Amino acid sequence: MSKLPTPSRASSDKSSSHPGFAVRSSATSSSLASRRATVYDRNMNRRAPDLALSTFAFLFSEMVQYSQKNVKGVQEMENRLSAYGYHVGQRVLELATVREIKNAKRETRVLGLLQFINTTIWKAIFGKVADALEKSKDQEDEYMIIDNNPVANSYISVPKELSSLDCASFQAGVIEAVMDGCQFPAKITAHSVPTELYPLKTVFLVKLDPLVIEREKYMR
Amino acid sequence: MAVRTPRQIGEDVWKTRIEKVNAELVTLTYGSVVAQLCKDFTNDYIQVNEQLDKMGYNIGIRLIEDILARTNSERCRSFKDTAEMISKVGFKIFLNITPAILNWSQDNKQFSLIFDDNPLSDFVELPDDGKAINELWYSNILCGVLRGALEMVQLQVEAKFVSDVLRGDDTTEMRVTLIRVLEDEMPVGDE
Amino acid sequence: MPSAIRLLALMGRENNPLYVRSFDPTLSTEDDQKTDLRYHFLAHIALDVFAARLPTKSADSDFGLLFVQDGIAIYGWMTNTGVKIILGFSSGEVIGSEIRSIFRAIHFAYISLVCNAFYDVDERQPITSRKFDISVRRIVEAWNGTTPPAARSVSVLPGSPKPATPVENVVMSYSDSRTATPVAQTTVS
Repeated sequence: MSKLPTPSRASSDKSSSHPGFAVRSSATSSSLASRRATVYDRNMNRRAPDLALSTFAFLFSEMVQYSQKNVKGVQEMENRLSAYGYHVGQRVLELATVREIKNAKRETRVLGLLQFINTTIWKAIFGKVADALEKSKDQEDEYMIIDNNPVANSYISVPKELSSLDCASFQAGVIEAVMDGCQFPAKITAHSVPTELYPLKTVFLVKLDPLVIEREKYMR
Repeated sequence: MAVRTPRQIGEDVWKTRIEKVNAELVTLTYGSVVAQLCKDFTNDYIQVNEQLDKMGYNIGIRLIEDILARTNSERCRSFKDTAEMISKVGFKIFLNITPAILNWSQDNKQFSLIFDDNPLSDFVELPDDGKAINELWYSNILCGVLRGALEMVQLQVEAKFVSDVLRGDDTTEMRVTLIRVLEDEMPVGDE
Repeated sequence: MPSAIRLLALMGRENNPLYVRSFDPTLSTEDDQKTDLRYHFLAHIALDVFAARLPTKSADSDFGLLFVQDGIAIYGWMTNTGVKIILGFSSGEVIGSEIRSIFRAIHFAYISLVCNAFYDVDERQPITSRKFDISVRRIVEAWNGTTPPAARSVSVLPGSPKPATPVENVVMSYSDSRTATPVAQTTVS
């Protein structure tokens, strides 16, 4: 059974000075430590297992089919997919703190968080880091996460009547939930920008809430 | 050449011929679908079950092609062989589990799949509305998948859950019943 | 004497109480433990300390000792989604790394709760999950040493449909699947 790495640093040195609450700085006295062996579930410790990509593809394509019912247009359809992604993203963020104990910290700056999404979250959930993270030159509240081959687009052929639909809105929803969860509210939209080499290339446009911009200014 | 058992086929395909994705992406995506259906059908769980079964059916009729292409296994000679293939190859490839096959009926037309492990239902706790626990079959999509996939190999079956650990049952059990063997050369779309 | 956990509270990111329980042996019923105002009070003071420290706090979750009041040492932990976990220990010897592991165990129980497809993350309602309740209760009781040793090896978090007994020690009996129950091996002749 694998255990989470136990940080060697004592957690709260401030507290050791308080009488009656002696906090020793390491668990060298192990009889107590072993009696209180860590009690959380083994399943939470090990790396997330794998499943067949086609299982996801089949499920996702049914989700897209179902979402098409009574839909009034591409925009509404994308909103629906984004809502599914949001539901997933809220949970992905929590799980990332288990899987990526070293990289998951409370991000306090926009760039730090976007890098966390671009690398850790993307890798955890889509199996690879995103291909690029760029800041808009003109808009201070806009960033772009670029994926040359997003998983949500890979196995879906979009019906003709919804030809401009971008299924990667699902992934946009995931990002939006992660940003909201970390208290960086933002609106994320997926935009297809096919190139010859990467026909499915997608730009996820991150538009930050004005509140976040305000806060960043204070932190400079 | 030695005949390979379904278990060997399943293991082999799983290890060497399957592109993988994080299991949690599947678990959580399925969860978002079920949660959305419960909202759309305003917690009419009977309808949710039906919709999940329909979605599963659509998946099943396409997924079988995938399995046959990857395994090029021979035609099953008996329903018992079919059950083996379902567990050791089908479930192995798509969910990386091999549910136990138990409780054959006397006439060999009915068996149960017992799921010790079910990646679809990880983390799930049914809504505490006094209804879901009696009405919702959370993993009902799997019944549809089986029904659809088997129909494409000329087996008309009924598949339904009869117990689920999510409801507090001791096991998760799906009952599969062979209704009839469809005519082999039935041309599609012909009157 | 090792110290015992007397309070466990989870507060949402808007400082809304999600879960407040006391583990006080002098309180007999569960209702008493839920409504004990002293512990709610301590949890709310803790929120002020979180708020005061946040601007200068490093990015990890561990807020260490927040304060001591009425013989209870209050420790804090903040998840990256802004949920605060608050533990109150009675006086006694505590090892820093052990506190971290207990926080982590509770954090994981919370994560498991959130991952449930039916849990509404946005809702500001108190946690009503039985599974979560059982999980954290086990964690606390294992720490306080109030459960029989056998129960400690059992996985704490729900989510896996495995029997609540170590798998090595049971055989599953499916002779009648509708009533299948784990049977201890020692009782099988």
